[in-house]
Amino acid sequence: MLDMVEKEDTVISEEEAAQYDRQIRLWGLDAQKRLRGSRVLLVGLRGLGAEVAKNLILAGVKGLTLLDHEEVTEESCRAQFLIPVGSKGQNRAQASLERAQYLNPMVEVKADTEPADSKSDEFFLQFDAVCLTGCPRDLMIHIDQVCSQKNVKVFCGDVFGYHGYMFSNLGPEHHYVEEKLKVVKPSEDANDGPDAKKPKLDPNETTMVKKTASFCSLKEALEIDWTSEKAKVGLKRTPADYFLLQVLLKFRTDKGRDPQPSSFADDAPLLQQIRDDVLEAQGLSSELIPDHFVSYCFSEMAPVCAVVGGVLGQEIVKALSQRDAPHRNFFFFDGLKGSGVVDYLSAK
Amino acid sequence: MADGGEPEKKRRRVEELAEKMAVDGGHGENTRDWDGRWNHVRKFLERSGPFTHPDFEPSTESLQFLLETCKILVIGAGGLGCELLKNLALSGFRQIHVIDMDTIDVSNLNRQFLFRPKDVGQPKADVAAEFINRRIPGCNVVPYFKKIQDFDESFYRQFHIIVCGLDSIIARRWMNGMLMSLLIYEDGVLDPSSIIPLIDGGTEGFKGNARVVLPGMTACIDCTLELYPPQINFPMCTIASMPRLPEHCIEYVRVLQWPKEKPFGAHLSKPYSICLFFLSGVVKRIIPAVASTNAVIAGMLQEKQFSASFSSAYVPLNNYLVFNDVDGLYTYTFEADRKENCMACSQVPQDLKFASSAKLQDILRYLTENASLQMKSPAITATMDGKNKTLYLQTIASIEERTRPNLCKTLKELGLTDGQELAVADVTTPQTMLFKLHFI
Repeated sequence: MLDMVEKEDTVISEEEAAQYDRQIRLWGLDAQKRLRGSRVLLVGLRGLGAEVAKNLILAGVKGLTLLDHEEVTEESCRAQFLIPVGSKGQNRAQASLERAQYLNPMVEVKADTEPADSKSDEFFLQFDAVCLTGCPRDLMIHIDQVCSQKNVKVFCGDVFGYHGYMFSNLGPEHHYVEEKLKVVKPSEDANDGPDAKKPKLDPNETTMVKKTASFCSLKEALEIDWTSEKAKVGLKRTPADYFLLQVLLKFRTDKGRDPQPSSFADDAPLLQQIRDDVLEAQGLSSELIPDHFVSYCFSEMAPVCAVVGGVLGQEIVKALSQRDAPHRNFFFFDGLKGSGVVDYLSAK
Repeated sequence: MADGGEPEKKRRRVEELAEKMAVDGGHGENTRDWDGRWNHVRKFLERSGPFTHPDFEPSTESLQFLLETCKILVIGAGGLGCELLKNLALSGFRQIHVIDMDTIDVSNLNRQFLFRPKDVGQPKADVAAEFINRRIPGCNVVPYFKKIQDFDESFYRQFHIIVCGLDSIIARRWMNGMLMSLLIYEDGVLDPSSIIPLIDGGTEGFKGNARVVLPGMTACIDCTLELYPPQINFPMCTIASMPRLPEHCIEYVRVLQWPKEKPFGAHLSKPYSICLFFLSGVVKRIIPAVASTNAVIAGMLQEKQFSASFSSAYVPLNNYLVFNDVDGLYTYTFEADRKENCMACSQVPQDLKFASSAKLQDILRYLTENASLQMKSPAITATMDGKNKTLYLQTIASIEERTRPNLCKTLKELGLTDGQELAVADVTTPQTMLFKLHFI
């Protein structure tokens, strides 16, 4: 895990400084050095995975491992710009590797073709951050538990048609810095009027403020008991997308895949049934997710992958560089409305 | 594949791969669509939904239209442009044109991912087009290494939709003005077929916005001109965080790796690179930029463009989205209102109210400083005695010198009368603006 001592060892070369100039001006050299010392695991190379891979590789992490055991299908090529046409039958991570590496030769990009659920716990602990896409719920919960005990940052994300989400668990104590405007002391002179007594913000002077944020586990985030009085009070403020996510994760667990356009006739009624079951089990009304939702959660829409991949990529950058406040702990994107919502959801 | 070996070896290997991919082409003989290729798009077009416009008939014809006939113009092949081209191509659009007057710089590579180190110095439009055409079968991106002002109405009229990823407000206003000039009014009624939607986006650091302009119908770029922060006329550092202070720059240099064997003289030259980093930010008015924000805004732009392409399919919702990822995440979508007397889209003649004793330079100052006009270097002409007289023009040195004395003359001295029409040309608009002079 990257810590303060390592900072002295990673020096930025002139080539890196030239290429990363525009982003160094945004988040600073210190943040760039931390990025440059970080290793990330990315599971799942569908549309969202490809976007996250692009954003992290361009940002300049030390290493990115692409883990995916699935084969390239016809569908993969149209959803994802890293896989060349004619790769059908190849492993998805392997097929994405060349173009991913080509994005930035300064990053070590590797492909791993084994299933995520066959990996030992130790495998995940060699990384500074782990990003899970397209994974079944139980696997995500298990990896989250393994990683957060050892201060490995965990991210999850998926795109279902027009909808997308990301979740983060940066541990019970995530330290970061924020740049804040300096507070100018109020004037001592009584003649200056009432405003002079108030502390003002100096627009030209900033200071770095250290902060800490705490995150709950994925298990706690997904297993909220909505039948409790306390939870019911918070229900109104809870984005419906959270419940949609529960439905889609259940579909994925039950069917071993996501809803597919070619099976729409079967998948659509099944989705509605799962919606009914999931909501009823929590004592919630089916109206929380209106029937037409089935039309908008098939396949991965390219622009939705771009939006969610952009936010998710930046959250990983922020966590690794320990700079700027992280989103806590869910981000939901509704592509139909063009709305993005950040919310903290936890059983605690 | 990538081991811990020397960067040089790695880079060479990657370059070899690049060559191989270039020859390979990625086309193959089979550029036909395979069964189910456009399932994800078909999904959207062949079903009704709650947001469907009442007149929309779901059908397979829409998909054909999308793939074969919809002509889209992307303006800018930079941060937003690269992301846009990727999204459009993946979504199934085939007739894409892209304009960019810039060449590739090494500092572009952290986000403009269609470009590689070997492309530095080449035109952005050309390299972007080639990249997409080789990677996406059937996609036909046509590049133009030109300025938007190099084209006229006949060029722009051919497009169904225009998406902008520009880096200047002046260029946006020019594009806005161009689309206004294409509008056809018959007996005061706007002909809808003359409307070309403009989807405009911009990013800076962690912030960005995406908006839809339906010329003649919704708020245009000039309607909301006052939303832009004042453009400062002297170069100023746009860096929000670091480095801003000289101390930051010294720290920056300290960590730069330089060979130990260099003679002392070389070390002396290093302080110049401190200043260079800082000064270049100031002088070049560099805007910090990162891939993720561009990815988000491009995604939003394409969402909006998608629904605008099928305006029969979806009722356009609120047309202006702002995105701010600086502190937490803030997205807000609202409906920007049209401005009643907007200079670009209202067709209301603009008035100039001045005393006859006012000087020409007073008018010039008004044209540049007024929040709704914000002209850059307006040229003012008037028709007098049947002849077109240039009162002041600053973009051509010889004419500037000749007309400069007019600035100090009063409007009366110049022979201007009450109710006189003045024609004003400026970089912010492709058309000449007409103003009516009223003496007060």
